[in-house]
Amino acid sequence: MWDEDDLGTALRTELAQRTPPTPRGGLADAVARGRRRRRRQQFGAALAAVAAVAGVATVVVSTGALPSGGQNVAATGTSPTEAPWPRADLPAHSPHTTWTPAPTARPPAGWPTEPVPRCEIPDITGRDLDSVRADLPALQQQVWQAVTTVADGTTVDLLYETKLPSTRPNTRDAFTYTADVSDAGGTGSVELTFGRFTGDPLTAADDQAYDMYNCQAPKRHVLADGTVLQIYDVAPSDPFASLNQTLRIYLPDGQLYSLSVRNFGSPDFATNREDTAHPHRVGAGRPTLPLTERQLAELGLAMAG
Amino acid sequence: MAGSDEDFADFYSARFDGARRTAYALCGDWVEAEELAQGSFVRLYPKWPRVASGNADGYLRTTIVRLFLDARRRGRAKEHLVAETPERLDHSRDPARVDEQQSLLAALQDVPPRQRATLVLRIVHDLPIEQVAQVLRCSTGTVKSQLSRGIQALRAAYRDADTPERSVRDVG
Repeated sequence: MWDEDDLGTALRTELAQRTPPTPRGGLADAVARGRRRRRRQQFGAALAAVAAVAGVATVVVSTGALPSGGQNVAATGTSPTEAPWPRADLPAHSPHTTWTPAPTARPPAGWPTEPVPRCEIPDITGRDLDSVRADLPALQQQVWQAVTTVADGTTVDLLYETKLPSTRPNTRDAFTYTADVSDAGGTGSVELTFGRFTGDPLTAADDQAYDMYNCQAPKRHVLADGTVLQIYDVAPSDPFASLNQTLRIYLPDGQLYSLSVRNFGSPDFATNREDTAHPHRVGAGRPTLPLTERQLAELGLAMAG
Repeated sequence: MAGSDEDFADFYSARFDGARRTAYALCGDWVEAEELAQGSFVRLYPKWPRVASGNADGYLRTTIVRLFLDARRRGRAKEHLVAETPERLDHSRDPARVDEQQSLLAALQDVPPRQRATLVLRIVHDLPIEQVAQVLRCSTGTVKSQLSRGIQALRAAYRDADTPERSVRDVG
């Protein structure tokens, strides 16, 4: 009986012989709940569109690109799209330069192109960038579940692993994990990396607080077990003024998770025949990030849990 | 018109019983099975205009399996350790238990959830390995190993069905 065919026949026969109770819900219940779900999704998409506009405004205003005197909208924490966390108690840095889109990789017409102040990143030459390889099938399931939970209505493609071979002596290969995230606004992606840090989580988070050329301190949340979650402002970069927002998680046992949401995904890359590990970026992506800051924060909490 | 509410109603009428039986094979409980099946149709409804002209059966089946696995994962997250094991009923003296002890479906409930889902998709639904991998979002190699381990676990559970000291292995 333990042959697959025989086992299938036996299970199907037994299943058919079972008499189920009279169903309670029925078609009317399924349709009513389905309609409510559709309305929630439509409402969520509308909110996301508003959030996207607010998000771009936040980047521009918080980085001082609008004539507002550098008032920090993101710090108010009142928007439903923002992470409800305070900024780390660290002094703001002074910009040492500004970033503008490269003339050879300008964003599509209509996208913001204002100069963005940039601050210096800390000296990381002594930092141990120990990349850790993840259990891919488990991570695929975890990320799919976490993203679809925090962002109902999005489609999450299968997470894939990219190996970045070591190019220097005494360093190891690094691994990144990426999944496309799509909704009505287009396709973006989430990228995860795993590593380790030394010392306690808060000290490590402080040391890395200005890793993204940011001038404002990142928003921070500390869990009861000492885990620190640190979310950086949205940062534009070349090509195409791509958007990226990163959240780092520092666990008490020294594990470091980095989660980035990006406004571009696999459709925006083309094969590089000369170096297949580094495909050509050919598309600008979508105008907004596929997850709000609050959703990224919730994703971080789900991954940390 | 494809994708209309009438089409959805026809699809629901034709597939609800099968969906509930698939869910029952996964969870072994008719109440939960109905919730899984109904919840899958609820998720299908907003996407119906797009799905109706494609593989609606595949979408429904995938949703049932993923809802089941999600529920098991959430259940596991809520589990907590206790200092002493609670008292258990002596099922060997329960006449209603006798049929269940001889049941393959009952034994299937002692197979870990992910292996159980693999068995249901591959063996009960007779899906190709590649499709099972797609539903479970894993590689075909993982499906083959889950299938092999699932059959072993099912054999062990079926063989041990008449002993009262059955262990609960409801972990993913």
